[in-house]
Amino acid sequence: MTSALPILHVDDVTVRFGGVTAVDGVTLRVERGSRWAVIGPNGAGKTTLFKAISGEVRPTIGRVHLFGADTSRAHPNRKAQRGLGRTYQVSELFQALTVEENMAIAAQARTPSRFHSWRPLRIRGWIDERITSALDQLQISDERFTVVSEMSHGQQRSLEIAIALATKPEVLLLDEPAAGLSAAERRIMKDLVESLPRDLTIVLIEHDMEIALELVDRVLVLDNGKMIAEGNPDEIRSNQHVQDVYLKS
Amino acid sequence: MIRRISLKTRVLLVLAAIGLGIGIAAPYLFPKYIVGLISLALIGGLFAQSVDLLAGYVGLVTLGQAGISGAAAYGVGYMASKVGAGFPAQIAVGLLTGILASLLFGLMAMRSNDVYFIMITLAQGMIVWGLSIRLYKVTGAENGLTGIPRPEPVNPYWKYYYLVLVVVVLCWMLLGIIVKSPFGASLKGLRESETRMRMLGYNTTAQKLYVFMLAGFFATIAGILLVYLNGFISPSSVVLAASALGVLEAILGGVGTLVGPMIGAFIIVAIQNIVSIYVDRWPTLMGLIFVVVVLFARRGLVGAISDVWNRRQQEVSLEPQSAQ
Repeated sequence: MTSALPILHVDDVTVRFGGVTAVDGVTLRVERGSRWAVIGPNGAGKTTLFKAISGEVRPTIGRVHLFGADTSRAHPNRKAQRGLGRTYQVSELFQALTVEENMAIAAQARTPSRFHSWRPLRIRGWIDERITSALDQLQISDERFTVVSEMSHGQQRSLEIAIALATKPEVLLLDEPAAGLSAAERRIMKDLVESLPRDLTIVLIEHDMEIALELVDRVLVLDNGKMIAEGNPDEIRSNQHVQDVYLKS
Repeated sequence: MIRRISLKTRVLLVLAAIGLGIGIAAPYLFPKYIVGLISLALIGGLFAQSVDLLAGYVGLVTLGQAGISGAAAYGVGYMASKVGAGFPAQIAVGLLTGILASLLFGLMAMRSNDVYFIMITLAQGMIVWGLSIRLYKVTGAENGLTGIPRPEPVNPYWKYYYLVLVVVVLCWMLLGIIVKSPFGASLKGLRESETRMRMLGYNTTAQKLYVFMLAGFFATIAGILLVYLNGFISPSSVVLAASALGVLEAILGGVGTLVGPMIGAFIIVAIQNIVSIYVDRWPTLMGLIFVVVVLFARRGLVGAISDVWNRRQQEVSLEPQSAQ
């Protein structure tokens, strides 16, 4: 194990909702530039773990360190300002706005200009470059002026990632990027995620174990909120306990 | 580089020029009574625009905006009729009370959404109404504050009309800049998904407070203009119905636009003051118009006209292809 400070460190985190323990003592050390998958059957606590990392819920016990700082009680916007990006399993897009407007709102999010109210928003210069680059990366440049509600589900899933990329995150949490896609679309989405810059640290939740294992260096397996395995994709594939859990589900 | 202006923009520019032309010529075209009504509609339109900045652009429907404009009007009225201060002091206190009310109400409401936001702002409006009834020495209670003179240079009705026109047009332009600014874009994002906005790095609570205060500022201006137009302020200016009227005007004209609330205000002022001369049951008529708009033109009159325009443009663009 490297001694370098992890970019994301989930330290023995437990999240309880009343009498229900959704995440139970989970620890995760994510090094800069690495790619992790969090897998597990429905109700395993994957999304709750993401919410604890992003600040949408606070850990009942344990700590979440981001970029070396304790962010256990920080609000999501503070974490995003530090460089954490996140996508959602059910698309959280600005449906009534165009793709470009969605991207512009995201691109200016980590700049002081987001509070400028006495001059018009001009999509040019760095903001245009950032939008173009993210849309190109996700192969939805042709939809730039389309209203989001008129896009296909697959395109909306790509836009989810493009919006997160437009904020220039250092750590990206991808919550089931291939959710609701056909088999062919899932392969395309897998290729898109694979093509993201290598210096971007990625933690993804993916229900499709095979896709997840092809994309990442390290895997954390959850069941009923508890960690049941951690290792590289080959170790996870050959883990009997993991296979039992997946066959059971 | 010469940019090609679209047909829609050209039509809008022509309509704006006609509107402004009629606005400038109004004192020469219409009798005093009608000019007074146009002043009232312009102020009502500015008030409705302030409501729409929250309701249309952020999705926060307020039922307490008359409390803010009323606080500003009472500030002016108190300084004029109780203290006998000069106009600069009257206007300064009016601005201060309106902005302070916005800040206070904004701090109370900024963490809420949807129906909770409506209920909190409703309560805020009721608080101002309650204070206007109870604080007799400050507000004159049911009698209100009367005899509030207009500043001498704009005392004649037509001069005051021009002042109202200039202030409302300036505020409209400012609102236009705000909704097209980076902050304005973020307001639309807030309307669509607050969860996503937080995760992008926006402090949505601060955003809401800022826009609430901006809306409050324009309501304050409307309140100050109205108190000098009427020469008095009473609890009837801060009742729930006064706030609700702003919401109705915005919905009637079209929420999420700046021209919509202004059109809505002109229609309602016309029904209340002109149609009512000929139609005894004018409130019923107003209710019917509102029901028809909500049922058949959900985006208001501006939205309906825009939809018809877009459909027509699509048909025109398809005609050459179908002819071949």
